Amino acid sequence: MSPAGVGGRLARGVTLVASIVFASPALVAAQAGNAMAGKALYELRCVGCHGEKGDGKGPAAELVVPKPRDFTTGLYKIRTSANKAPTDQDLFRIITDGMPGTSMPSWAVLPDKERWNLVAYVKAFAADKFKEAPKKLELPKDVASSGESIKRGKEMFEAIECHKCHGTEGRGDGPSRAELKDEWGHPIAPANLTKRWTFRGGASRTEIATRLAAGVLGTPMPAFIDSVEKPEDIWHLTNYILSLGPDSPGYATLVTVTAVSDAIPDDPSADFWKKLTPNNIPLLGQVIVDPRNFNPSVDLVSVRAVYNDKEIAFHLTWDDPTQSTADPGKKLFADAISLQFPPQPTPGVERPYFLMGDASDAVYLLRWENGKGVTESTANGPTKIAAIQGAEATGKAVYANGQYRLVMKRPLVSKSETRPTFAPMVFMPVAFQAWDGGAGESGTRMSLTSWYYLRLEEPQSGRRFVIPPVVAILTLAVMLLVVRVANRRA
Amino acid sequence: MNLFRSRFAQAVVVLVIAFVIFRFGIRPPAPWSVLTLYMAIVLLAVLIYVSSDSDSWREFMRPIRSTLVAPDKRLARLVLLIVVPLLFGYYAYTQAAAKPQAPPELRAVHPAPPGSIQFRGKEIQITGLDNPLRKDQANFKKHFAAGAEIYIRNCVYCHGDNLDGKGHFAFGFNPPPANFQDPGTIAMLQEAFLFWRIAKGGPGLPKESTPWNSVMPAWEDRLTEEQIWQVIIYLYDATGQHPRRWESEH
Repeated sequence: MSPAGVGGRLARGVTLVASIVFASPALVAAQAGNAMAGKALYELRCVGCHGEKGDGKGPAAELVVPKPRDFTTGLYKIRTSANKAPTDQDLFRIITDGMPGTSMPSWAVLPDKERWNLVAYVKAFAADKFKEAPKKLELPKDVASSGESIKRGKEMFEAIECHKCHGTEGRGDGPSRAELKDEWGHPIAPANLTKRWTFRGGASRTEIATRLAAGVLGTPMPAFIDSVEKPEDIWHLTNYILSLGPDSPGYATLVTVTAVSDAIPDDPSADFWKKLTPNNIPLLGQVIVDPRNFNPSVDLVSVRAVYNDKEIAFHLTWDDPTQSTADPGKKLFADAISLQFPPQPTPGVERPYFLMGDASDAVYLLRWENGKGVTESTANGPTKIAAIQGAEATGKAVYANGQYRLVMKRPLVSKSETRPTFAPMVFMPVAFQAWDGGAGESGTRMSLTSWYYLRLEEPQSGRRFVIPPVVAILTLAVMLLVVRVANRRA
Repeated sequence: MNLFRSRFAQAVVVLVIAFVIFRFGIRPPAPWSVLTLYMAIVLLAVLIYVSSDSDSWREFMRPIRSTLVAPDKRLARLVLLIVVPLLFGYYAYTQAAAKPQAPPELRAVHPAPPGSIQFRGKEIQITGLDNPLRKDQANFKKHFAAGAEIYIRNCVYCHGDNLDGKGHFAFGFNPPPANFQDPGTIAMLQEAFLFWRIAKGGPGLPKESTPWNSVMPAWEDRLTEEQIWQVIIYLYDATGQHPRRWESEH
């Protein structure tokens, strides 16, 4: 091959590597956007929430929580700079990735250039706030996670009083939560540190450490770089926060009910429950029937379920920042949760309407309410609920550190037509509803799911331990036979 | 090089190459059932090739036979007799221990619309119906803007800011909210179909479309006839799709 050919290939290789490096979003060099071009796009895509004047007062603003950003103040929550002005890259990243747990979606569908134009246009709403150039935030040297680092992080978490807002176990249930307001006077909830996938500014190590160091502007979350004992405590805190919960909820599509032969404990804190794998189910706002609930409080319930020859039990875990009972004077309602089943097996795939049934097809609700305990009822729609006489279900709940744990039990078999009977290996429709009374949820203001399936696994059988050895032995026998026949012929 | 002259080794190499091409060379990846079929065809072709004459067949069989009988291949024979049954046993275990999956929810995605519907006590003929606001070209911008506002105050939580069916609640519902950017949704439908679906929502679906599962509200309770047509204008114009027209009368 000629030297020119080698050189040419090398140059192509370098270009290829360069294009791969620069194509990755984190490394995209900041581009000067065209604010005028950004205006047209802004008016098509962004005005609905952020408003024509950029003041965060678009037609959807009254519905969404947290409220849309007011660009005229030039104040941005998520930034990587040490002073107030965010970098262009910060704005670009939020437009590109969106903000989890808020109404800001990812706009990665727009070409890079258009997103840079939006950055330029959004900055133009508060041009004077960007006169001062952003200063680079210097983070201390990263400290890898270890048992010791997490322990130190926990000490710091208490020392700098993170728990006052975020709660002892990080579920956003601290004593100060009710008083918290943002710069614009809106109530603001402290982050639930056990649900990293809802972190507004991203859940990576660096993003968490950056927010700890520089704070979140416009919110009660201060910069902690000067309040920790040593700069590297920022990383110990980061490691502690990362240890508080999983990085993703791992939602289930099927609720599996485990077969057990012993008695099922009534105590929700019993070790028995910890050994079971939770089925995590996402709950969403009820927006069909008035009053609607666009910003539901309970967004996840972890279901552990077991059955023995007599009864079935559901262990439910969900986060609720306040334990509340009905108090009409204070506009507070009781926290509650319910499981919904068709009262009787339905023909084929048909089943009642997911939103608590309708006039023609009722559902059975197994409900727990704080202060009232477990009740069973028949519903023909969310406002037509009638209690079933003669309770068969029992339950017990505990509340600690922003979390409910509840056990509800019921006989496996029911003779009445208003209650379902549970049978092994049958796919049974199930749905969930939850109310955070402290957030004013009651009646149709709830979070819910559509129909899922529940399945009682087959009673502990040795099938998976019997079949494989049989298969292996049969294979061996066939092979020995082949070897034998071959040897005889030879 | 001796190894590659052997018929048996050649056959193995051909099978491996074919597998690698089928498994990694096809994008998007082909399902296992298709791969199995392709590999069976290749195996058949290889067998025909090696058995094309008796010398070739004998040569192909030689390493197999020697592994089965030759005294110096005792160790290889022993290893095979242990490994192969274990592999089969393991496969049987993965099958026996497999967790059951939720059964699939089969439904008709675009069921046939009714000929007419009752809209707040008024009968509306769906068949042959066009969007009345399209005749009012002078106010098109006004209707578009009104539609955009209706959309963001009502629809965005499921269907998403980008009209791609990725709103706040979209991930948790099955069936998922419609993606209007997808050319397989509104571009395939007449505007009257959308009117019916928006007005009657999930509860108004026929049984083959699992009305009990759909979380789409019946918007006739909340939106007027004109507002529904406005939001339909917005859906098409904001996505750059065009509604399907009714068949012309013959």
